[in-house]
Amino acid sequence: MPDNWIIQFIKDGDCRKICRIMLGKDGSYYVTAPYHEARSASAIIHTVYYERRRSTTTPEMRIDIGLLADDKKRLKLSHHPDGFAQFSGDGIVSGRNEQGQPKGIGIMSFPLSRPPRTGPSFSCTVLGLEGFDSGNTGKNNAINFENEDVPPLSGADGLVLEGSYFTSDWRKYLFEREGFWYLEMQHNMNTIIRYRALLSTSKSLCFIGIRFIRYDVKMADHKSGFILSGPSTNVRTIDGERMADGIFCSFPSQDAGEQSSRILDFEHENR
Amino acid sequence: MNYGDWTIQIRSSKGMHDIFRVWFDKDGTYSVSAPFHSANSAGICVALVAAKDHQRTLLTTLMKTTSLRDGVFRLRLAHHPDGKIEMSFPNPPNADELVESLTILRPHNDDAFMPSPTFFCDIRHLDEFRVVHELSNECVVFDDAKLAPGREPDLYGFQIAWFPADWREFLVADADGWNLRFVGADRGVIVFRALLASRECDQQGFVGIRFKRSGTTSLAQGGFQLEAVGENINPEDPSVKESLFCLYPGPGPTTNAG
Repeated sequence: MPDNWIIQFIKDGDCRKICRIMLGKDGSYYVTAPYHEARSASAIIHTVYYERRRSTTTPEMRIDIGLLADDKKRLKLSHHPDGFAQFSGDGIVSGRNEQGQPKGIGIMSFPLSRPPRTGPSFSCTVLGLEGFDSGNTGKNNAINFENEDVPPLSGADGLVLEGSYFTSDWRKYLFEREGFWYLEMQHNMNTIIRYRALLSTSKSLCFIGIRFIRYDVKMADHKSGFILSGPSTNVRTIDGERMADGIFCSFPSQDAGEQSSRILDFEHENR
Repeated sequence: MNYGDWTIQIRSSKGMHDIFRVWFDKDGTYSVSAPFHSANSAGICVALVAAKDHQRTLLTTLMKTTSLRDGVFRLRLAHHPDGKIEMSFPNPPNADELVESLTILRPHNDDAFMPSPTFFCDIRHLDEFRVVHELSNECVVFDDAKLAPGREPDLYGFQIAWFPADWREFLVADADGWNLRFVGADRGVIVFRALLASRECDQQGFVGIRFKRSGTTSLAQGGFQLEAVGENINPEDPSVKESLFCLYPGPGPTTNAG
C-alpha cells in the first residue's frame, strides 16, 4: 500500500492513534480503525437524514446489520473507483456475488471520479481518547492534530474526523503552509472550511482532505468508542426531507444480542 | 466571573487605540460598549433602515432624538438570548429627557444559513480615541495595514454578528486567533474574527467581528456611530428593519451606507 497515514490526536501531551487512512494505486481509499480497545463491533446500513444536526441510530432505521466478535478481525472501510463501498477484513464476509450484489455490508455509492461536494465521504466519530492506543508523534507517516487546533465547545466531549475525497483536478486549489498541504472550500452553510490534505503518490493524483470538529457524542453506556461512517447511496427526498442509506461500523458493538443480526464472521456464516 | 471580555483596538501609523469593548454575560447576552472616544455626549434614536447585503440606508427616524451624557460608564448595546436588543445608559440623560434604555427585537439566530451583523460601529479620526499604552491578553487588535487602501483612509467600520454554537466547527485557527470565513451574498469572502464565550457561559455561541473601511456619510466631523439592526417590521418589504442609533457627536444620523 503506497500511501498510508496514521491519524493521531494529542491532548495535554498524550498522543492517541485514531485511525489509518490509505490510498490505493487505483485511487481507492481505505480507512481502518485498528487502534480502539473494543473487542466487538457492529456494521450497519442505515438511513441518514441530512438536515438533522444530530444522527441517532434506531432499530427501525437499520437496513442491514452484521456483528463481529473477534478482536483479530478488524473492519476496514474501502471505497473503490466504480463506487462500490464496503466493510471488509480478514475472514469477513465481503465482496460481491455473481449478480454484483454486496455479500456483506456494502453499497454502490458515488464513483470516485465524481465525489459529491455536499458532505464528507467518510467520518470517524471518537468518544473517550483513553480507549485508543498510544501513538508516537515522531512517526514518519503520522498526521498529528493538537487539541488546541480544534475550536473549544463546552458539552461536546467527542470528536469527529471528517474525510473528503478529491480528484486530481482539485490539486490546483491546494496551498502549502509550514510544510503541510491544505485545501479551503465552501461548505453548504456558506462558510469556508479548511482541510489538511493527504496526497496520493500514485498516477491517480487523488487526495483526501481531513479535519476534526467537536461533537456531543453519546454511545449508550460506553465511555469510549468509535464509529466509522462510510459513504451513502439511494439519496432521496421524502416529505421534504432529504435522506440516504449509509454504511457504518461501531466499536464496541451496538446490538450484540439482537436476534436479527447477521453474523459477518466468515467461519460462522459457513457452518 | 469573566465569561469572555475583550477590548477591540486598531493599530495604525498613529499608534494603538482602544475602540470599544465586547463581552458576554452568563446567560449568553453579548454586549458592545460605546467607543472609547473623547466626546461625552451623543445623539440617540430609534429609526427605520433598509438593510440589504450588509448595507443600511436610513429611511426615517421613529423616535425623538434625545441626548446622552456619557462619562466613565459607557453606553451599552446588549443582545439578550430572548431576542431583545437593548441600548442602555449607565448615566441617565437630562431629567426632562429621562430614558433608561431603548429596545428593539431580533432573534439571536434569525437566519441559520446567512447570519447578518447585529451591531455596526463606524469611526473616524483615530486620534480622538483612547491611546493604548500596554497590551493585554484580552485585547483584539485589528491592523490598518491589512486593509486595502480606500477613499477615506481614516474612516473605519466594524460589523459584529452572533453565530450559534454549532458554527464553531467552521472556525479556523490562524496566527491572529480563531477566524470564520464566510461567503457573502455577492460571492466575496468575508472574514470575521471570532470571540468565543467561555465554557462557563450558558450559551456556546460566539461573536464575529469584521473590520473594514467604512462608507458611512454620517461622520464628516469625526466621532463614531454605533448601530443595532432589529427584525423586519414591514411584511411587504423584508429589507425594512428597526434600528437603534447612537451618534457622537450630533443630533442623529443622516445616511449610512455599509
